[in-house]
Amino acid sequence: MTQRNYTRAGAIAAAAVLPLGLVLATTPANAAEDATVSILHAIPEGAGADVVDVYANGNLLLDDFTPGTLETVTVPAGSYDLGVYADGTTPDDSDAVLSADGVEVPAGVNATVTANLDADGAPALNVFVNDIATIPAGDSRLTVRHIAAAPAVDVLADGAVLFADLTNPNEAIGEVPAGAYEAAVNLAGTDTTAIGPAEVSLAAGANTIVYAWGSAADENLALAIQIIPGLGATPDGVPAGGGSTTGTPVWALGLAAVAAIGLVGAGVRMSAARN
Amino acid sequence: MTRLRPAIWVLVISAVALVTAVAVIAMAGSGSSVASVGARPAVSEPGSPTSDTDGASAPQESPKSSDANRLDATVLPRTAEGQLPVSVRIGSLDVQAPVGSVGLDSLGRVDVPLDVDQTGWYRYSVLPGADAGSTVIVGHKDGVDQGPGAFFGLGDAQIDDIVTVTSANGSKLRYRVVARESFDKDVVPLDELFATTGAHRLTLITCGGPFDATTLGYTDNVVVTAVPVETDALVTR
Repeated sequence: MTQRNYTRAGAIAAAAVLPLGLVLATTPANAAEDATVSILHAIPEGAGADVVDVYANGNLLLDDFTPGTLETVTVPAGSYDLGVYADGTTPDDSDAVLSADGVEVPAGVNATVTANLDADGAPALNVFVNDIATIPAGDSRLTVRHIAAAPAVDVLADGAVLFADLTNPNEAIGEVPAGAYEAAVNLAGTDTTAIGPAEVSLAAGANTIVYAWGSAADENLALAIQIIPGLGATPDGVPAGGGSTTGTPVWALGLAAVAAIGLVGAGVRMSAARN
Repeated sequence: MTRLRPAIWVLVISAVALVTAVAVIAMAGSGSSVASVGARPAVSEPGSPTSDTDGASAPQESPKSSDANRLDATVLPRTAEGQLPVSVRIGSLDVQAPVGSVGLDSLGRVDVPLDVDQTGWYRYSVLPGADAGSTVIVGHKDGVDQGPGAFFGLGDAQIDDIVTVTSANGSKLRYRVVARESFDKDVVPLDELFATTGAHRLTLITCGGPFDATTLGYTDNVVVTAVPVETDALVTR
């Protein structure tokens, strides 16, 4: 597997007050006022958050949200107080299971909020900024995020370590040729497979975000996927008519050439005859 | 009557031949059949979700969400070998050709099959029948030594012509032509034609317009856009 480039960036852990230093190099031109935010429920069943409601600034955003599901919304840029509430409770009558206040969502940003377990198994909210920069034609961007109650891991593609020593709540990003890969997650530095192997097809021009979630102790580690398509560079052209024998008959081209020679020749002879 | 000298005969014959040749070349290159008709579906902006909600509401209002926007994140994306296109047919145009899989050439252009009887699915575009994006199939209009190509007749496509794409698993997907356009190659809207977002559509691309004898190529790309035929429309056709 070819790995074109490879960066690791720490995710920003949510706290009671969560200042997000979100800076993106590129912003879609016609989304000047909006941001795209995805929410992933990655707290496994049985951890006290099986069915939750998500509130933003006191308003219901997602109803009856369950583990392993992802929803993407377009929101106006701004500051958001996020709260996760047990199903049937509201900000008016109950405390949040999880909350993050003052989450700054700049215009044009593409971010994912995950409700997950931290390395020690406690529920947490994390906010990740998704890379939506243009991807070279034919390549795919792979982002791997560790949001599981598990120690450091290595991420393998087709049996080779692609990202080493990834810890909760961090991510690793690389660009690889589009195609199908056998993905696996091993305990860091060991041959002990924690998740997989499983086939994951990486589409050209997409940022495929793979989340390792669940709990090692509860033996429910798993992968979750978020795909952001439409990032690929386009080809530089379509040369689909390399030559013509029918659109312009070759005999016509030949005739034109012969005729031109004839005209010149005749002109020369006539000119010579006059003298 | 004065007998015309040989030089004058050569002059006259050459002039007639030149006029004939120029007329034929002009007719061949006029591309009269490729004037643009119809309209392609709009393309959504890159990076935006295909099923986003209305974000135009005031900051105090929460965006509405619906179950339709909720995805099961535990389903891993798999390669769908059976959905790879293997042939394309436009009955009304006598277009019937095998479809291979093509990528990019060394210049970053689509690697159009050398065999003009072959067409190529651009493997970095979406599969036929996808939920969103453009399925791109390219083919030659003709070849210098090979005569008419698989997409020779594409410039004659008419609105509502039916395009049938057959996949490796034998399934047939029907598309209805909604636009036929001709672009100078300098201004082809490649970003839109190859977009992997927006309403699903089939984009067929070949060459057209005047033939440039200096570059041995055509100056234009002819683009036919077709949208999936709804199940109920199939019944009435």
